[in-house]
Amino acid sequence: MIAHAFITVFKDWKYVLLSAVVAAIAFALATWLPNLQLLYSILKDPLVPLADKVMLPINLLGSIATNFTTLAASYTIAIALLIGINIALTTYQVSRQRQGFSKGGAATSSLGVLTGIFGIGCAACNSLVLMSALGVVGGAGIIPLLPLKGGEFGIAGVLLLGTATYLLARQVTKPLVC
Amino acid sequence: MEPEIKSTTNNLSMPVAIVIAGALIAGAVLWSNHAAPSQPVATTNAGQPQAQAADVSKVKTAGEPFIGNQNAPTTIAYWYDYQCPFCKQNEETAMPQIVKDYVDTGKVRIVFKDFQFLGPDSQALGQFSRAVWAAVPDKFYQWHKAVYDNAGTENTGWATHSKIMSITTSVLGATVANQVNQLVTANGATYQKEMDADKVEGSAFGVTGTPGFVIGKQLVEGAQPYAAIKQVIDLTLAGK
Repeated sequence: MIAHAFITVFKDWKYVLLSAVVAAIAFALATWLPNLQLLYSILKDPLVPLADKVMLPINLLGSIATNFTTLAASYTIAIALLIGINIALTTYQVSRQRQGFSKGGAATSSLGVLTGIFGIGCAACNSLVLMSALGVVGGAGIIPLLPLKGGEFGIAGVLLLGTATYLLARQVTKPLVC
Repeated sequence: MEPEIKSTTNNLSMPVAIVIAGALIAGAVLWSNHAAPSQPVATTNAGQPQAQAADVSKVKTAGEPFIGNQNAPTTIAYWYDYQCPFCKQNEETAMPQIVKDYVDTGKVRIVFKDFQFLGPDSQALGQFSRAVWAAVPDKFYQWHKAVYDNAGTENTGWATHSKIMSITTSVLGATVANQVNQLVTANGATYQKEMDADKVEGSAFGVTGTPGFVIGKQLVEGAQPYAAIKQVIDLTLAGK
């Protein structure tokens, strides 16, 4: 069923492109997140050559290998891919104006995206987004107590996005009824 | 039977609302991360650190361990924790190349700043590092690397006194190791205050985790590929 849904949606190259672009953006943001200020500073500086402005963001993508644990890198890549797939499936659904558009699927997808954002941790020492979010609500102290030091949120994000993918795929394959 | 027609508007309202809520939350997360440190910061008796823009010329370097030419055109301030696996990663990948291409050629001086926050083992190692610098500054980096080479799993109590002495003896010899041990015994509280002050200072510059670097007027966070660090160093050396 999932395979059928994927074939249905991704036989159109536009959805492949949409999925790839969204996944690339999510992945890039995950690797750039600790150094957004650095990127902004370099990009806005008129004295910095264009080549450096192009290369620095590309070079920082390599932090997936240096600044992530194996677990964190795995779920970061999985989350990015699943976000892209979910956006493509959702867009397909919306564009087809299907009856009974699954609010459950959309809600699960959005929750998966949010959980995935929380779980993108770039270092065992500093799950940046997660700590910031929990710091806002006074829950940052919980991180060291978790067995995976915040990686649980990344895994939860993958599971939720995977569930959302399944729900959306079911909707895609539902026949139209009059 | 009447078909159940739901308007596109109704079908879109919930996902659009969820996406908007998600964007707001993500924006709040990024804003809060930008506005405040993401974890508790050690403070001196003077209170919370005064946030300031990254600028290595404002980093306290007097008395701090360093490698390279004292008068090198550029300084890198490097905040680290001895238990941080990403600092270890940095020591094994980017740092050897930075040392080879910039420190050994006299272009860069690296100043070592404590950001020991992961646990008691980090504090113990930090105090020893200060004593090593006081006793044999020319062997500091060799000892520093040996700690990472022999590091155990974070917060498992691996950095016992005997383990640290074993590492120190293997690098410096038994006689100097004993001197270092005596320095820690005599000056441990002073070293701890200096370490805490380093952490407060790093937090003021925006360091929220380790490794963290201030290179010229740029803050670089995390264990980044050498290509990225090299680019920032080159831009700093070029005066940009």
